[in-house]
Amino acid sequence: MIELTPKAAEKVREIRDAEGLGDQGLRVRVIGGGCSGFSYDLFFEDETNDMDQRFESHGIPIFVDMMSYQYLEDTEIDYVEGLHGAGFKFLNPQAKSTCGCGSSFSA
Amino acid sequence: MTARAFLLDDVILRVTGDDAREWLQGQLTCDVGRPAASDAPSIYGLVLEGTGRILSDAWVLDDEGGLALRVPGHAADAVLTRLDRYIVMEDVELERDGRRVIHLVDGASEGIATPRLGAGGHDLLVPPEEVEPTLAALAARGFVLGDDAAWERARIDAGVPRHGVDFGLDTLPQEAGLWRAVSFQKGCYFGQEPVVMLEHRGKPPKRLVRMELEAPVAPGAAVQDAEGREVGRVTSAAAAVALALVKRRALEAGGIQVGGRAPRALALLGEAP
Repeated sequence: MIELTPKAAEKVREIRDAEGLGDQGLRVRVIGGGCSGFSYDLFFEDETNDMDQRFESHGIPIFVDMMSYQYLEDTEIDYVEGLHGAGFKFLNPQAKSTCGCGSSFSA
Repeated sequence: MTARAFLLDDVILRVTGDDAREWLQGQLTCDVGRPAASDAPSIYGLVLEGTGRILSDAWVLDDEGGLALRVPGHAADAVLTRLDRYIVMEDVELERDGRRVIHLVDGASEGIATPRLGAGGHDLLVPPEEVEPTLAALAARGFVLGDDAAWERARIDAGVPRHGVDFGLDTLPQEAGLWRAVSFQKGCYFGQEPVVMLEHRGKPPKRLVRMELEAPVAPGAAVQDAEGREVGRVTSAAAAVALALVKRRALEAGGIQVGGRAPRALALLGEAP
């Protein structure tokens, strides 16, 4: 399962509406790179395939490929704002450690 | 200068696929983010552990639609395993390339510009069956063929540290003086955080140095301070020229000696940008 917090879902909907993307879903994936080895990647997409895991959280469809899902199971995606900046934050129980900026993790 | 040729034990790893460049950029310390000109020299970089310690060094080259890493033979399996772990869904293929590496020093302009000894130098990438004929042809042109002992002498004399000998899994890039292998502008790569923190917040606890000594010395020999306390070890030596890993504070205090005698010359390897 992957879930968005209400605030993250609101932000996703806001960005999707601003870009005129209709009901597109959120593709969440893990890519190799970043200080701690793995990085998160988010983008809108309306195509899924049979290998995807599909979820819905606060009305936002979420798609995750099988390879990425092994690193993302039970992750909650939040949206945080602060003096240092704003962005989506991943609360990932699979992550053994996270780099300082929070965009990269080890597993 | 004598033209010399060395058959190295490097293994070539090819990285191909649509995501190869962007993905590799996140794995190496050097900047490989943009395609290199066809005559550009190889780029020197490092593969780090998450702790910032050095799993391997690598010479990187744009090669036939992908990128090719030349890594020391002893580190090739570890690098393949490490890199393979971080391919998730990217379009990246990793494979060994059977070609061997012959390094030419002085007197050659063919091959890939690869400044292994600090300046000049070219690598030839040669299929295994062509190694012997290529070496024979180079010898016929006047190249002196050097064995591993000769390569050791050449690189120690040039003050070039070797992975697995002078630096490795217990060394940070700055301790080995390898700033030339690290881009501090390129963005995130695996192992970046400790390297950048050390660069901006601290100083390397140890430094590699090149010493010219009064007498020949063997690897493992103790380096001592003025009071005779051990402050480091010789990591490699060719006759009376040695590379050694020495505590930075002892270097700053001065009075370094080996075998009870001060070196005739001592220089830190590498310079901070």
